[in-house]
Amino acid sequence: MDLLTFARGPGMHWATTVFVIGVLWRLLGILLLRGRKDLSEPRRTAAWKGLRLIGLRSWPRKEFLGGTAFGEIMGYTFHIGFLVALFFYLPHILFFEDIAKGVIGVNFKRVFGFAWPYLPGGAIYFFSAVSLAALVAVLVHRIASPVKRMLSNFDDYFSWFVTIAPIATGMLAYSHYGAPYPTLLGLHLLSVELLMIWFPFGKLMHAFTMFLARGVQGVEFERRGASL
Amino acid sequence: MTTLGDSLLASGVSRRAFLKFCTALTSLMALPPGMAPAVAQALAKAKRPSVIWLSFQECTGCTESLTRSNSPTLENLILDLVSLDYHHTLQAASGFAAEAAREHAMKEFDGKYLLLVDGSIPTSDGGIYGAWGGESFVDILEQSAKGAAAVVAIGSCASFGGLPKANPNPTGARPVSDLVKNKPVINVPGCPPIAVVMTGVLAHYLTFGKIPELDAQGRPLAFYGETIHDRCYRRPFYDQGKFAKTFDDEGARSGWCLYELGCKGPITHNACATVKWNAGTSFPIQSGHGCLGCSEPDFWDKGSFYKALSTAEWGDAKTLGAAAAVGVAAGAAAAYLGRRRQERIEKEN
Amino acid sequence: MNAIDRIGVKVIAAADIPTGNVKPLLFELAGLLEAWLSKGESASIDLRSLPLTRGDYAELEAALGSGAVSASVEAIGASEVRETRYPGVWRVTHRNEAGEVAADLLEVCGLPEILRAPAEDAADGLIRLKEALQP
Repeated sequence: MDLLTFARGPGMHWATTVFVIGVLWRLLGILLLRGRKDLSEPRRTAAWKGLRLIGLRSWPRKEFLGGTAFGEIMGYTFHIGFLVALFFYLPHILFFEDIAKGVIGVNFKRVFGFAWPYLPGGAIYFFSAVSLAALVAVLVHRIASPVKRMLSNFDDYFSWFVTIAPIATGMLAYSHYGAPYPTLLGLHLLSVELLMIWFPFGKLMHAFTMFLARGVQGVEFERRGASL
Repeated sequence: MTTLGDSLLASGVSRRAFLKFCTALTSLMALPPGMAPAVAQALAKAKRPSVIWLSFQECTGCTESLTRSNSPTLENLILDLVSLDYHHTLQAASGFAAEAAREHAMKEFDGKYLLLVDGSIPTSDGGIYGAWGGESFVDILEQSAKGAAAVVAIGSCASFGGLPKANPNPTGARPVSDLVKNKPVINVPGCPPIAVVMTGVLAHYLTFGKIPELDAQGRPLAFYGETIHDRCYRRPFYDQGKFAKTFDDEGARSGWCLYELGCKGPITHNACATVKWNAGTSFPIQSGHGCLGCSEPDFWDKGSFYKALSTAEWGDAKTLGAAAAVGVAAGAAAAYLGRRRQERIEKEN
Repeated sequence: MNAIDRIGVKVIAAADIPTGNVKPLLFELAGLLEAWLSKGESASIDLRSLPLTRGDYAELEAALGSGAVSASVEAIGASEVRETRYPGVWRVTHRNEAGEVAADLLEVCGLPEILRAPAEDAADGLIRLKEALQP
């Protein structure tokens, strides 16, 4: 069985399975834990309003900007570029639509009334390049800063690698550069599968836990009357 | 064996006509036209080898495609370039007479005849699923390949196993290259292969007496060196992001790219986009249907023809449902253990 | 009326879209013509090796036009030789006995090879001529 056939077949099958098992395991393992009992009297009753912390934490307070600006800007650059490339490139959209159709049974157009919009390949290539550059920048920053370097562990570096690999291989495949196209496409799919398998077990889970953590903290703060 | 030059001269073909034929042959073999004099020189000295065609687990589509070849016409090819001593569909003889002709040719041209095979070879249960004259295909192939100069596996069935080999492969079908190990094997895949590709490959061997340059899958690079996508005339639409969404919608009628309709052009190596079919009339994408990938191994088992290349086989709702159940169970178990730890810590403090 | 008759049919000849491949081809011809004039090197281009649509062929015909010479050759089928409006650039179309195109070439040379009388054929002809002259 050649590389591409494996990547499109059993590789993707197992990666999706591990991803679903892993994410549910991690999420439920957190959600089903008992919250800390707060025995004090709530200062504000509508504690749920604290959920707005999820949005408020999107940008640091100006007191902290000095140290965090680089990370924030590079972070947004990477995430926006990556998410545009992932969700607005037609072949990717077809992949997600196929899963949605298989699991839920309806297609996007029927649910939302309009087709999932997409950008031409060249635009996607540009966004991928930008996000790739941002990733390289943050790695350099991590290694150059003595504090960050000391704090970094395997999770940090490996998560970086499994994130940049799909972007790099995707760009190589799109430009048909370096190897025959079927090989490049196979490598791209395999790198995505690696990302999917690693995702639940490292810091990439922040994609889900970030909202949980901010939400919980916001509710706690709101209950206590602290400013958000 | 007399040379081709001699036999053509004897049949009254002028040198001018011969040179014209060689020009056409050069074009057919996808060689640069400047090579026509070299082709003429080689062909004039070429011997007319015996060609034996074995049809195994096949649908006769390859023969059908070959008989639609126009330049050189199959009649030309048979009568002028080769001595086709055995072919089930095209020969006049049958039964013992035909088998006798085959054995005679194999003995007379031992070590020099060209063996063409179409169809895969069933190997399960002693090979009983394919036999003629009381002999299994496995044995016939083994005997016939022994004295052959080279073996050409015509079509995807002979090259890679094709349809008979598709899941669950009940007859144990295998390609020629799996069974013939000590002779050069040229794979000319396609379901069916393009007619002029078949005759071009044969012409190359007959003219130059050696097999053309092959890729990693044993396919002649001249015809299988590029993917359909590389030469597709709809490429500008692919690059601009203009895709047909369903068959016969506005995009499809404007000739937009068929990626979303399952075209496997990007991963399929063949000459369809340039050489095309029926004397350059058209090819599947030009007619509005995506490429099936028929010249690649195991193309029957690579998922739906109508699902895009990027929709990898992620499984199905049942498997994901089962995975979700496992995940929930694991999460609940982890949370349970976590809670016990929390309680223990609380009790201690 | 059948449901199938209610489906509108619009014939789109996607094969007639010119791809823009003719311009580079003309540039190549210019280069080959220059090479022939300066170094005497003849060359030919196999049109069927290029991804050209029907629209491209029409564009090519219009661009090359026809010149002073046109000849037809009968040799296992008809072959047509036409000088284009650029002397030295010839369009040679070989057909087989069934009338199908066997080869379609652009030749840059003094005279396409198919028009020259080969020595072997002339030698054959001489034998026949001498036989005819015998009393």
